[in-house]
Amino acid sequence: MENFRLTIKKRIYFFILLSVIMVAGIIMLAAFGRANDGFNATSGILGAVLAIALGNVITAKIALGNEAKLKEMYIKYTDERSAQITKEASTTTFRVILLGLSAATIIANFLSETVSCTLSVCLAFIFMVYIAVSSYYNRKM
Amino acid sequence: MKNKIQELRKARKVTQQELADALSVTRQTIISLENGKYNASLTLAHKAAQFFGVTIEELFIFEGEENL
Repeated sequence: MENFRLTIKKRIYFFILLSVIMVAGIIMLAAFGRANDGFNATSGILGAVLAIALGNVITAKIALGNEAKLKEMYIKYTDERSAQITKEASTTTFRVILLGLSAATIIANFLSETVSCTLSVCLAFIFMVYIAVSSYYNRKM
Repeated sequence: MKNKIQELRKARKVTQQELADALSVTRQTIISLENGKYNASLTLAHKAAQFFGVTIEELFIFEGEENL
């Protein structure tokens, strides 16, 4: 359980960092953003991520101060069925994103060179990350 | 893969929640195991077998290769 306590602390630091980045992003967009006077859909998405991050920080802080809640969180966190579901969902999501992005890149090629180029770079980046992460786990396991 | 978890749990008058707590998994995992919707990992199978005081082979019935 001590190891899990450490994991939760790391998780809190991660979500605090994420919150800081989101707040900075919202402020920057509001001050210097170009679309809709700086307060556009991107700010909304950043706000939603900020709310999720803060929610996670609060939940983790409560769990750290309450042994019963910590045990409950430990079970949820380590439950192998949940982990399996997350794995399957991630794989499917990855495939759907790849398919969608590939289709969007082809379609964008006929509409805008900039958008097509951006999407191609995103696609290439996803492949590079996938190859790097796969080779990391290949060595690890 | 079939298993005798429900049978043994009921015989020992253990609730799904109690078994879940003992194995450090959620109650939903126990429900899925009992319904045959989910196959336990080796670690969980070992823990479950230890809990019921039987061998893994007695608890889980391997029926050959299965399609996921």
